[in-house]
Amino acid sequence: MTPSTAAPRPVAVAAGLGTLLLAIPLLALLLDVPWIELPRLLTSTESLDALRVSGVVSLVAALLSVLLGVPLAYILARTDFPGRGIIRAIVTVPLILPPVVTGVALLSGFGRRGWMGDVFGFGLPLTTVGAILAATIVSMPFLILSVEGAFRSGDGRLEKMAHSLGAGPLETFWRVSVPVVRPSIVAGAVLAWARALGEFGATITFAGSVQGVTRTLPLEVVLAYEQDPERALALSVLLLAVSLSVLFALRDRFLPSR
Amino acid sequence: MTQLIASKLRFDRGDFCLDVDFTVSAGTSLAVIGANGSGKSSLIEGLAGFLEPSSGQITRPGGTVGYVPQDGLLIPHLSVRENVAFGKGITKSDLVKVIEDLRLRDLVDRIPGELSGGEQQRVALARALVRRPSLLLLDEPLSKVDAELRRLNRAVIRDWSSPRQIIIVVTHGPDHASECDLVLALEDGQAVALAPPGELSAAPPAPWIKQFFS
Repeated sequence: MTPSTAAPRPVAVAAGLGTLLLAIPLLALLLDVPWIELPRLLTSTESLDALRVSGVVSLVAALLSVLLGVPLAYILARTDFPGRGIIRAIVTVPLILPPVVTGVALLSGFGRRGWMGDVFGFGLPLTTVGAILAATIVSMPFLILSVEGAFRSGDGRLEKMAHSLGAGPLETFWRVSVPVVRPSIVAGAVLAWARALGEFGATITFAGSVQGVTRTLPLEVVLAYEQDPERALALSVLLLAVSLSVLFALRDRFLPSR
Repeated sequence: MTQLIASKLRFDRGDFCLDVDFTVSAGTSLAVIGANGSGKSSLIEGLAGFLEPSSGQITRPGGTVGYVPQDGLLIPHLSVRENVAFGKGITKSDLVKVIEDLRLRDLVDRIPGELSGGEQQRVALARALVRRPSLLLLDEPLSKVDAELRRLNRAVIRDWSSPRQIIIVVTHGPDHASECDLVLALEDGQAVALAPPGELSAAPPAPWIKQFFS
């Protein structure tokens, strides 16, 4: 335990302001929400459609992130080859790139007038698959970073032992490497899912906002705020509750006890 | 090939360097002795293929290699039985026998994290023996067990050995070293002696070797 010391006054004041800045909007939201109307607002057709689309999109995106991200994390952590730095950059870019830019890039790649349209004559915008693609791209880096660190902390001796006992490379990967980093895969998947659930910019740019097809909860919140602010508040508090649940589930990772 | 040949081997590990050059013929047991940091573990890891030599060549006898590292290196999420049976080339009867011989029967469903250090070493020993290796490499396999278990483990290793098996064992125990056919004494990464234990204890080439056997 770190010994507690008295912080200099300016530091304490700045820290207090920071806390207020973060707390005030959340508090205001909770006070604004029409709690009694909540069940009705959350079960309107539009809300239920958005819930369904968001559920499908975020879960499939998290699943794809695991299926593609775990092998990518393994390659980045355990192998050395020319061009690894470029792959690492490609993997990290969606973390810092404005999501709208990701959406525009997706249009160039998988839009009807992009490469995919040129080759196949159709694109993925305005489809649920398109929304899933956008969510996967922005969320997979969270999983990769979490799992890559775990793969990196192993020294490869267990794998060498498995190999010396007669296990092939694929059996070693499945029965030794992956189970050892399972806690990080779970944590990374939850993070990726939460990021996919909140995805807005890339989705609206690339997949558009079609009710029941691509209009996820965040898109519905923005739209509802124009017509029915109470419904926007209700959906917002739902997303807040989900976020708090994620924080609680991963508390050992984000809130280290002293 | 039935011999183990370590030809002009060199291992570089930062500022530490190990040089050895020896041949062990089939059916021979070799004890490796030396102070901590003398290179014993590096030698065993190198012979097991876990550490790449920076120069020289290792020729291993045909057949499987059984390696028992100091920390056991068990697969953490698999049960004791799954750990012992992991990989290829194991018969069911050998599996039953090794678990019985090393008194692991009550532990088979536990995972390594639930075992003591000594128990983990026994599981790692079982995993190596059950493959009936032509080359058995033991890195202080008895360091974490009490005297009675130490005797049991040594008896089990003897019992499972085949006439042509080569055993290399890193040990701090003079009685264990005395049971081997040859003793390799390491000092600061250099081999200072390679001789039968009787010869070494009768005419120790260095004070610490005299102390080791007394």
